[in-house]
Amino acid sequence: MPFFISILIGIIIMGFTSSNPAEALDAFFLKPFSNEYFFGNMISGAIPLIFTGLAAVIAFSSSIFNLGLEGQVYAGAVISTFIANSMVGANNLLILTVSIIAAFIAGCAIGSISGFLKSKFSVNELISSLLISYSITFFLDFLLEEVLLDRGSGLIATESISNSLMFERILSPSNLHSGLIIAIVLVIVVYFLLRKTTFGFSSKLTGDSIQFSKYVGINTGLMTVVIMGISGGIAAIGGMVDVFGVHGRVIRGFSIGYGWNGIAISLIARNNPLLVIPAALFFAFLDTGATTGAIFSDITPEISKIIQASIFYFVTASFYFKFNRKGMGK
Amino acid sequence: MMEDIMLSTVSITTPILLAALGGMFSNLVNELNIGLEGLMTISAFFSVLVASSSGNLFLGIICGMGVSIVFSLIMILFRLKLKGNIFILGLATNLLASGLVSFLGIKLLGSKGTVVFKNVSKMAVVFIENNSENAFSRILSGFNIFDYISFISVIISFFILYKTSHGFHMRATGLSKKTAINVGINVNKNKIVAYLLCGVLCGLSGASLSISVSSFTAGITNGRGWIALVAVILGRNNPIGILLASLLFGLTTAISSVLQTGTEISPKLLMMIPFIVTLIGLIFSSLNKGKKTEGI
Repeated sequence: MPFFISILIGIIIMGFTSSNPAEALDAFFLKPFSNEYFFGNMISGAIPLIFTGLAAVIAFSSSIFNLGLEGQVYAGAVISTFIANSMVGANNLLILTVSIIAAFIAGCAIGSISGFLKSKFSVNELISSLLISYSITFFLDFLLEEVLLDRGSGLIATESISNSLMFERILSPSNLHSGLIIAIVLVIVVYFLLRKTTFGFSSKLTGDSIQFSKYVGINTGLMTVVIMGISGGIAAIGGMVDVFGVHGRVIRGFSIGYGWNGIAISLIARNNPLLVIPAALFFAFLDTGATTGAIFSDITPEISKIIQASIFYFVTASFYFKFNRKGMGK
Repeated sequence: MMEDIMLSTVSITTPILLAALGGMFSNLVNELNIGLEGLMTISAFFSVLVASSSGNLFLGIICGMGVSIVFSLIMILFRLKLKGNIFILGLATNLLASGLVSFLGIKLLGSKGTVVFKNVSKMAVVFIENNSENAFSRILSGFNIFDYISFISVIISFFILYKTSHGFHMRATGLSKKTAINVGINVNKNKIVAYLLCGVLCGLSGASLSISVSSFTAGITNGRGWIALVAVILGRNNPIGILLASLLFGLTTAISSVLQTGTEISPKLLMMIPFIVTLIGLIFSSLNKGKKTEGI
């Protein structure tokens, strides 16, 4: 329902601003599916969002806010690229394994600082994760500009990783890559972790009531640290997968927005790990539609942001509709 | 050099302080507004646009505030009438503001980059007769009207919160909604008033960003709305505390930018300083809070 209302809003805006509305609608809604290039890029655009969406879901399901996803994604990307570039010559599988573990550890470390500060000093994790994320981003920018910079490239970027390390492309000539499989596997793992294990239950309990959880013997402080750690780690793997799948190197600012969109996606998915995939695809669809819309007609790409925003407004409102219906049923 | 640092401290503090005071009102009624950034963006755009096209600075500021109030009220109405989640509504406001502003930028001004407005009058800086013998006048001069407004807002906010029944009701609403309802306080009305004030203050904050430089850039707020939220938490919902928290951030940012021009250290590393200092401040502030509650 919210999706229809917001798409309707998008259609109305396009109708008013475009000189040829029919063409604009076609370019926005249908062109993303028209050929392999756009379709593949759309799905590939959803991959990092699945990771950050999952990261946000894990934190939210324990009522913790991780607003540091942006920095965590970036950190995962930088550290894994650094490792891949400094291990040249070793076995590819080994390099990939080490890179992915290093990315996870980096994100995990950054995330768990906020968790630690919350459990030890009751520092608001929403604020601390945000501040840490800003600091980390500046620090990584510094590394990129002065330490890891590839001076020959003309970009503010690291050296490219070896081609043989890149994930397999699935739908050439688009960017779609086999990192999608990692994303899907992770979604399933997280689903089982949160819904089918004692750990998932205790994390939810900790979020619902700290006092009660302490009473039943859950180490709530440790729980907070672990949850923030896993959340940060998954976001960081998202950064690594995006580099190894699409860009091949870390370019300054390549991941801007991944974290915020991840938070948005977890909210739209209503904290259900399985729904993260369609929500991420929908976001990627809007972005691709905005691109194709700008190429093939006269609408501006910012329209996708307006549609995304109106979805938020109506997604929260629809909570009410559902709740109300239940109430009347009784 | 000291004067430079002081001047830039104040000019960095002003927009953060104004937005943080707005955030404080929303936090007091237990509906923390994370859409400060969006409100600031939208006001920054409209205030400079109207100020330029009408040639009237005052009208520009009023329009910026008006748009910010409208968005703020939309948030709280969605919250109260449709039971939306205030966190999502905040994100929605941020997203809508940045989308709308770049969309309108292209439609109205033909650019989504930096737009410099010619027709904005330069009255914004107040110069008190620079009389070098009188140290007091030197301290007060060089600031623009927004700097004064922000400091006056601290006093007004303090007055509203602690000296009027409105402020008392607002604080009561935040402390316990149920008790507030039982003693006959109109909770929803207080939430709406808090968001109205939030809209006013974020509107001023946004206007101060764009009007003081007579231009608008996409991303003009540059994370200030989030820093303002940090100030709300660090200042513990108290106007004076928020003033101190904003000044801490303003001062460290000013020092870091002076160091950027004066030393060899990488600017990016220096830019980390304000965030790390604020984080440390947050940790110490939480430590103190922990002790106090234990004492009681």
